[in-house]
Amino acid sequence: MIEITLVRVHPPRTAILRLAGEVNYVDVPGAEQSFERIYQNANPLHVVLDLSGLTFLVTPFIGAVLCWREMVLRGGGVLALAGCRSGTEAAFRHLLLDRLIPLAADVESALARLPTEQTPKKEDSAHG
Amino acid sequence: MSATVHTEKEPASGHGSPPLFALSMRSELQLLPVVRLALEEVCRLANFDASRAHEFTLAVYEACANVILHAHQKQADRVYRVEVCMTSDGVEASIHDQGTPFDFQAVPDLDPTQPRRGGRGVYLIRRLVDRVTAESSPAGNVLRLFKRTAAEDAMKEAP
Repeated sequence: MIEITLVRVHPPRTAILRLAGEVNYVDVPGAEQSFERIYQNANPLHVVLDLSGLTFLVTPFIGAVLCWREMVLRGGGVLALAGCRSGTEAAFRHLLLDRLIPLAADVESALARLPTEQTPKKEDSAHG
Repeated sequence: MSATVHTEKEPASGHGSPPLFALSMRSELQLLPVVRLALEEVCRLANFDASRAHEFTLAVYEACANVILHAHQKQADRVYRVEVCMTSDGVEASIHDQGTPFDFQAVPDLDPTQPRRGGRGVYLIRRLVDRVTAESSPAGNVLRLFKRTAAEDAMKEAP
């Protein structure tokens, strides 16, 4: 069973989510619902998934992560993965996900790699 | 009675030793962790390191999920069997089912980076184990997955 929790929001709008436990086939729908609920409530720009507590995952979960990436991209942000254990990291690499989603050693490294948020257009127009 | 045999990567070794254990499993996804726990213990006995054990366990897990979802169409009253053998050079798991014949070799390698829910199991299995052998006959289907020990890998890679 997997548990997804919003650990904190790193200013200005990066949500850090911790995933703990294991993702079996039957756990994937619940994981999807949890992520989508947190994402909608927190309304972040970027999302960092802390996977250091994730001990096992199955391929439909990887499909879910790719869909989450699409969701975050549509909002103009970036999804990053942090703290993968060796086994889960191997699955991500074998499926070439590391080409799409940055795999950072830990949350702080992932945060350092994120693009900085652009100044909102409203502030720009205030000058003109 | 004819059988179709498909082999990928290497020819089958044909160990001939009796299985360490055989599990008869109902076709229910929620029971898959039972298979996983048994495999993790075998990997420990085979001195697989954590990464190798995870790879082999995940490959067998995905293969069993394919049986449940595709060969047996989630019909929980259908049973599949998992047999595990240890050989001098690695561990082999064979998954036996009596569902829809499945031509493992004919499954294309879909781009795993495309955003879709499923369709990555076979792609991953091919990359996580050292040998995949699929047989289909009127008696049923058998998928054999073999993973070498680290020592055997080192010997294979030596010049």
